[in-house]
Order: sequence, then C-alpha cells, then structure tokens
Amino acid sequence: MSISAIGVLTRAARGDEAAVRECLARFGPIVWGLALRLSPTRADAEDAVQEIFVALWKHGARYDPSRASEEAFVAVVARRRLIDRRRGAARRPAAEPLEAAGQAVAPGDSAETIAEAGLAARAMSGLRPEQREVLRLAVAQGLTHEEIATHTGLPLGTVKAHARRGLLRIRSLLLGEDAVEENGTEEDAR
Amino acid sequence: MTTPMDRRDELLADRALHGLDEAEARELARLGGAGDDSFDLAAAAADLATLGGGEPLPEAVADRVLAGARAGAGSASAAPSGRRRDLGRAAGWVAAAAAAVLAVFAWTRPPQVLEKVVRVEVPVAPRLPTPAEARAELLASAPDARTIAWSATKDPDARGAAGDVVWSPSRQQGYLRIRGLAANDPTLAQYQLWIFDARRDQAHPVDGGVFDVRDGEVVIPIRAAVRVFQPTLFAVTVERPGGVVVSKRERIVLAAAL
Repeated sequence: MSISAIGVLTRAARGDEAAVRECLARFGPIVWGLALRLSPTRADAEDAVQEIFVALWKHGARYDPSRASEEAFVAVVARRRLIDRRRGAARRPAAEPLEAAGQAVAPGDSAETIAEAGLAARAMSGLRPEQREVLRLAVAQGLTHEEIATHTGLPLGTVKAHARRGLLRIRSLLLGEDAVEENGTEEDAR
Repeated sequence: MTTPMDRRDELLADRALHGLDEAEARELARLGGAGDDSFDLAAAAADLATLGGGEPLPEAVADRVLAGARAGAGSASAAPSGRRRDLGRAAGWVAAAAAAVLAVFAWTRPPQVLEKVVRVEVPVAPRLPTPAEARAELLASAPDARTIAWSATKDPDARGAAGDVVWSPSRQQGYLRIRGLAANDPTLAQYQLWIFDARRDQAHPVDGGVFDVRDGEVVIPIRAAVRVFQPTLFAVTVERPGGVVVSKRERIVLAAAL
C-alpha cells in the first residue's frame, strides 16, 4: 500500500484538483470497469461513475489506510453504489439505449492496480470450481441467484449456498485465516 | 436447521452481491450484522479478480467528474451538469446513499479484523511482472507448460493473425500471445477467450476472460473462470463489451487445438 495513494483520497476529498485527477487516473479504470459490468447501458454506467466519485470526494477523508487498501475501498464503495442503482432502476422505466463514448484517457498506475487484482485473484483461486463459477456469474455478470440457477441448472438453494461459501472463503483468505472448505478436497480447493 | 449466524451470513452475502430490501436490512441489524462489511470486501475482491485489464475511463466521463469536483470542491452537491438526465435528483440521494455506504464500509469493522487484511496486502505491494515476463517465467518453471500455435479463421479481423497459447495444467495458468489481430474498439466489442474442456459440456466452454488488442503484439493472461481439467481447444470470439456468459460463436477469430 503506497503512502502517496493514501494521501490522494484525502486530498481529493478536500478539493485538491491535482489529487482528483490522480484519483481519476488511478481508480478510473476500476470504477469504469465495475460500472460497465453492473449497469444496463453505457450511459447509465457514465452516470454511475460520476455518483461513485462524488461519494469518494465526500467521504474520502475518512479513508483509513491502516484498515484496507485504497483499491478495495474504491471497489466496495463502487459496488454498493451500483447495487443501489440496480435496485432503484428495477422500479424505474428502462434506461436509454447504448451510446458511443468519446476518447479514452490512459489508465493510472497499472502496477498497483494489477497488484490488487493479483491479490484478489489468488483469493479466488482457492474456491471450488462451482463456487467460483457461481460467484463469477453473480459478481462479474451481475446475475441474480435465480438467473444463475437457470443458467447453471443448479437448485436455487445450492446457488445461494455456493455464493455465500465462496464469499466466506475469500473473506477467510483475505483475513489470513486457513479456512478449509467443507466437503471440499485439496484438489477442489486449489 | 438455520442458525441465527447462518442467517446473518446469508444476509451479509446477499447484501454484498445484490443488496437488501428494508425488511432484510432490519433483520440483519437485529442479528447484529449491519456493521460487518467483510462480505462486501470479499465481493469487491472477487470483482477485482475478474476485472482484468479492462477499458480506461472515457475522457468525456473523466472531464465531467472533474467538472463536478471543481464545482462542488468535494461536496456531494458537485453533481455534473453535462448529463441530460436528472442528475440533480440523483445527487441528493447519492449523498444519502454514500453516507450509508461508508457507514457500512470498514469504519465499524473491528480493528483486529482490518489489521489482518492489511497484513495480507503489504507483501504484494511490489511491482508484478508484465504478462510477457510472467509468460516466460511460466515456460521456464512449469514442466507441463505447453505452447500451442494459433490458427486464424477467415474472419476479416483475423487476417494475418498469429501467435500462441501457453498453458500449464498443474498451475492452471496460461497466456495468449497474439500479433496481427485487428485492434478492437472496446466501446463496441471485445475479444473473449473460451477453453473447451474434455471433461465438461462442449456446449459450455470455460470463460477465459475478455481482452482488448491494440497495435503490435499483445500478451494476455488467461483468467479461467473455473478449473480446466483437460483442455482440447482454445478459441477467441468477438463479443459485446464486457463479454458474454454464453457465446453465440458468430465470430471466431482464433483457435488453438491440442
């Protein structure tokens, strides 16, 4: 975890434009990637990005570097905002269709972004294959439990159990606990 | 029989993946789990793990965020003005929702739990090898790593494309090396890798992740969604941005058969 990254959220929250730019460069690809995944249209994803960054500017000063990495912090905030939007959208008329985007800006410090993704990937590699697939469909595709059950042919209760146990496994690995998956062999857990 | 702890975990998982309605949120609070964000962190980690290189933030979107920050100097009222939809309304509930988000995230987590998270992360802070370096390392260190040459299809974007796939069954790790494949506009389409496994239904190959190609040679890490037992074919299709769960296989550009 870099000291400069710790400062940038706090500075951005105080209105430091240079820090805001740095946050956009560093965290923009993460926020944008998550927004694209969990938004019905590209236009909706654009709006979601703005809302997520507003949330970060408003509360970034509360970020405590001793508690979690900044990428994880940004991803958690982004996911919660996107989930709220999805739930809200379910009660609103359908969004407008896809529209073309403008030119792109370069990603930020890719090494740090990749490092964080690498940590998370190692955590996921400990999941049993079926748990990983259910979790991937829920997280990366944004499918509901019911949609996953339809797609995989698994019973709804099994889907829910896999999702919960998958998250538990990742949580255990992130916390440094040596969790052994129930009913899972060493081969499965690898 | 479901114990209160099981139900608490179930609600925490549901909140992290799909959110809760008011009744569920009240139930979680009664069970003492409202301040536990560890499942949210796990879901975020899973998201980061499957995000890949992805697409950079569009410049126009970045500009609007920056304009909002300038206007609001970091306040929640800094809603961007460039959108044609009702962002003024959005900004109000954004502020409320953001407060709720951050009340949930981390700040109420027991300190000892959070310290453990940091201890895991600190060792991985140093720079990771590039995909090309990692590919070379895999070839050098994994005895079972195999190299399979790509065959380009007749798709116009694949004309002249070449390269190879490196895959290690024991490590469940591999890389695509591609040159000559047409650069894609990630706002319109992305390439997606599929891995056909002899021990799985051929109608549902394993998703190997989405990626983009720009000029020159690219090396892409394979991000298999599930364990690959006996790969028989690696194939690259053209899909909508973000990829698909099940490909219609309308445009296959590369294939590498074992």
